Amino acid sequence: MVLLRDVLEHALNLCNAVTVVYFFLGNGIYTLLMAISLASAVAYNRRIAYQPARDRRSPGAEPPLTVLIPAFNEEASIVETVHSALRANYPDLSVVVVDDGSSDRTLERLSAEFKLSRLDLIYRPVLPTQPVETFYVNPDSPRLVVLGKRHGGKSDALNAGINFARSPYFCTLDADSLLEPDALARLMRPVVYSAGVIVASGGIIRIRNGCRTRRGQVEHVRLPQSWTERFQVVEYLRSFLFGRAGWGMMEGTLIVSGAMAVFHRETVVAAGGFDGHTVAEDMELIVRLHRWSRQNGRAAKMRFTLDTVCWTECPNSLAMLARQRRRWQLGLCQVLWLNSAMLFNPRYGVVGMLSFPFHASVEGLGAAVEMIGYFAVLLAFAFHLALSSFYLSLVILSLVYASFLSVGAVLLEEITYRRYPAKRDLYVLLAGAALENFGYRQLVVYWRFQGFLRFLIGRSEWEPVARAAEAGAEAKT
Amino acid sequence: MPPFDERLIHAALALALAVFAVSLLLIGAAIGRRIKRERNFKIVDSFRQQSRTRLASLAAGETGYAELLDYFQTMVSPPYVRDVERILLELLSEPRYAPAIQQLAEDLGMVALWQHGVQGTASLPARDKSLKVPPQRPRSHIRAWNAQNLGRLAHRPSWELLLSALNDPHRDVREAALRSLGAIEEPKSFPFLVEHLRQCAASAVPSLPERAFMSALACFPPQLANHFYPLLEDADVRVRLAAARALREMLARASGRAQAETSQLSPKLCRLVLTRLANEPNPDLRAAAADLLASVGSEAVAVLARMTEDNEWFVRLHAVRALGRCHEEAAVPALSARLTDAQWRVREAAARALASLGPKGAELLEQNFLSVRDEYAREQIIEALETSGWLDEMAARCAAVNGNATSAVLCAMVKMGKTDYLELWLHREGITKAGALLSALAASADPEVQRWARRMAV
Repeated sequence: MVLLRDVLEHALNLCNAVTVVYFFLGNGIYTLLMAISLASAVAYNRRIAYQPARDRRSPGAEPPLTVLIPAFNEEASIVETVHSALRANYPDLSVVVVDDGSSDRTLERLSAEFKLSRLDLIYRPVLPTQPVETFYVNPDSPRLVVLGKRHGGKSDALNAGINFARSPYFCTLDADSLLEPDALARLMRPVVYSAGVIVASGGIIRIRNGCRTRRGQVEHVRLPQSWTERFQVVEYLRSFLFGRAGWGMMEGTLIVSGAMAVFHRETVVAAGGFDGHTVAEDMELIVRLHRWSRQNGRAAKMRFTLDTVCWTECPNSLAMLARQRRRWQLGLCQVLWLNSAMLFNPRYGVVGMLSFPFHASVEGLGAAVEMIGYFAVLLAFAFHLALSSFYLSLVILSLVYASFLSVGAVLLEEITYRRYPAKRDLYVLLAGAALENFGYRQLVVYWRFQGFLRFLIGRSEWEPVARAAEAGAEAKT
Repeated sequence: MPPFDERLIHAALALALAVFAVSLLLIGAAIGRRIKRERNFKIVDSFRQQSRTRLASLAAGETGYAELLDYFQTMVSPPYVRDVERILLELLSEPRYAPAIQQLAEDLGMVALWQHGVQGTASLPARDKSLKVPPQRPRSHIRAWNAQNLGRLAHRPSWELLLSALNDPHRDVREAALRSLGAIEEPKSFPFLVEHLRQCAASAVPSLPERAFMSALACFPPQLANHFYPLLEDADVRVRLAAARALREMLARASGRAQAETSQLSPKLCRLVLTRLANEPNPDLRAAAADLLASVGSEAVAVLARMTEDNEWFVRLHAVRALGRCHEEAAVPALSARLTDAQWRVREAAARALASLGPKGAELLEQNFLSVRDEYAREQIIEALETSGWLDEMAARCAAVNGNATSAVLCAMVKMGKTDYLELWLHREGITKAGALLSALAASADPEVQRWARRMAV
C-alpha cells in the first residue's frame, strides 16, 4: 500500500510538473498574443479611418472574385447565404454554389428563389472530383451558378467549385454563414494593397445565433439566449481577436477559418486543392500551402483582416457542440501529425519555430494535459496526498488566468469593434467571460480529449452538426 | 506539508488574486468605456441630426450661412472637434450640401488644421489659434487622416501640399495623399503624378505601388492622356508597361465600363499604340496595348486581328476581347479562327465576342459550329449560344421551319448530350411549339436524335 502510494505520488508529481510547464507556456503565449492583438487592433482601427476598404473611384482595382458555397442538405439556410453573397459590396463577383449530392430540397429552393435554368456549361476538372452533372443559371442574372454533383464531401465540393471558377481569387463560404456587405472588400484589401501575391486571407467570424436576420443580412445584433451559445460567443472573440489576429501579425498564420476565407486559385490548384483525407480541410490547406510555397521557393503570404465579418451559426445544444469540438480536435491533430516535419523546422520561419510548436503543444496536446491535470487533482484528494492543496491552488490560478484572458478579449471587442450595441449584452459577455471557465471549459476539454483519443485510435469520420433549427426538430423526433 | 510547497501555494494563490483583481479592473474599464461612449453618442447624434436639418434649411434658402457658421462654431471645441469633422465629411456624400460644407471647413479652420496635419506640424500658426484644438502630434496616422480629409473635401488649393506629401517617410501618408490628389483632380498636378509614376516604375524599391498610381490617375479626364506619351516611349520596359496600364485604366474609368471602349486617344497616341506598343517584344505590354487598341477604333482591327495569332495565349485573349468590344464586321474572321484556339480562355472569349455581335454573331456561331470538327470549340459555341439566349431563337426557328441549318446544329447538340437547355425550352414552350421542334428533330437521319426526340415527346 505504501509502495502504491509512493508510485502514485511520483506519478502525480510528474503530472504536476507537466501541468505547470503547460500552464506557463500556454498562458504566456496567450498573454503575448493578447498584447500583440491589442496593438494591431488599435493600429488597424486607425488605418481604416483613412484607408477605405474599397477605393470606389477606381474601377477594376479589385481582382475578380468567386464565392464558393459548398452545400450538402442545407435547405434551411442556403437561400439566405446566397442572398448575402450576391449582395456583397464587391465589383466583379460571381457566386458558385456546389450542391454536393443533397438529398433534401437544397436545389429546389435555390431554383425557385433565383429562377434558375439548367444549362450545358463546360466543366474543366483540373482538380479530381466526383462528377459534376448539372449546371443551373439564371440567364438574366448570370452571377450565380449552381453545380450539381455526386456526393464527395466538403473538400470535393470545394475542389469542384475551384475547377469551375474563372477568377484569380476565390472565397469559401459555409452554407450557414452570412456575409456583411463590405466583408469581401475588407478581406480582399490585403490583396489589393499588397505588392506580391497573397495566398490566403482570413477574417473575423462571429456567431449569428440570437441576431435578427432578413434576406441574408444581419439586421440587429444580439446575444443568443442560452448560455451554451453565449459561451461560444466569448470563445470566438478570444479565438479570433487574440489568437488568429496575433499569429497573423507575427506572420505565423496556421489556421484560417474555412467558413469564410479568400485563396489565390492558381496557388491552391498548384498545391493540389482541398484534401478530403482530414476533417479539417481548411487548416490542412493552409499548412500545405506553407509547405508548398517553401518547397517552390515562394513566400506564403497570408493575411488576417481584423474587421471582416461573416456571421455563422454555432451549435445550440451540448450534443451538437460535442460533435463539433471532437471533429475540430480530431482535424487539428490529423493536420499536425501529417505535417510534423514542420515542427521546429527553421525553414518555415515563424510558422515552423513558433506557430506550429504552439499549436502542437498547447492546442493539440492541451486537452490531454488539462484532463490529466483535473484527474490528478481528484486522485490527490481521493488519496489524501500531501500535494493536493498545491494542485488545487494551481487549478484555481489557471482558471482565474483563463477568465482574465476571456475578459481581455471582451475588452478588446469593446475598445475596437463594438458589435454588440445593447449595454445588457456587454454585461452578459463579461459575465460569460468570467464564468465560462467554471464548468463549460471542462466540458469542452473533455470533448476535445475525446477527439484526441479518436485521433490516437485512427478514427476519422465526419460527425455532422445539425443547424439550430434542425437540432430542435431532431430532438423532437 | 513541506514548507517549500507551502510557499508555492501562497505564491500561486497570490498570483491568482492579482490576476483576479486585474480582471475586475478590465471589467470596470469595459463598462466605464461603454457608459462614456453612450453618453457621448447621444450628444454627437443629436448634433448630427441638427447639422443635417440646418444644412437642409440652408440649401432650401430658409436660413443664412452666417447662422449656420455660428452654430458649428459653438460645437468646435476640444472634445467634439473630431466628431464635427466626421459628421461634416459624412454629410459630404449629399452633393447639395457639399458647397456649404467646403465653406464651413474653411471658415471653421478645419482645412488649415488638416493642411498643418499633413505637414506634421505640431501646432497651428497664430492666425488659426481661434480653433480650440489641442496641438497635434505629427504621427503618421494623423498625417494620413488629414491628407485623406483634404481629398474628401476635394480642396483644390491643397494639391501642391499633397504633392509634397508624396515624399512623406510613411507609406500610408503617401498613399492617402495620392488618393486625395486623384479625388481633387487638379489638372496641374497630373504631369507631376505621371513623373512620380515613372520614378516608381523604374525603381527597384518603389515608394508607392503601381496599383495606387493607377487608381489616382484613373480619376483624371482622358484629355490629359498625352502626358503619358514620354513614358510610353521610355527606354525602360517597366515604365512603358506602367504607363500603358495606367492609360488603360484611365480610359476604362472614362468609359464607365471595365475596359476602354470609346475612341478617346489623341491621333499622336493612337499612332504610338498602333505602331510601337502593338509590336513590343514584351508580351505584357502587347496585352496592355491590345486593350488600348479597342479605344483606337476601326483602324485597329487589322492590328488586333494580327495579335490574335500571338504566341502568348494571354495576348491573344486580350486581342480577342478587344475585337469583341470593337463591334466591327472586319473582326469576324479573326474571332472565328480563335474558336479553335488551344487555350480554352481564348476560345471562350472568342465565342462570347461573336455572341455579343447580335443575330449576325449567332448566325456565325451556328456556321462555325457546323464547320469545325473540334469538340472543344463546339462545346464552347453551345455554351455561348445558351448563356446569351440565342438558343431560344434557334429552337423557335427550328420548330417553325424544318430542315434548315439550325436543326442540324440542334441535332448535333443532342448527339453531344448537350440537351439540358433544349429540355428546358420544351418544358417552357407550349405543346405546339415543343411538338414542332420534336417533329423536326425526329425527322433527323440519326437514330440517336430520333430516340431522344421520341423520349421527349413521351
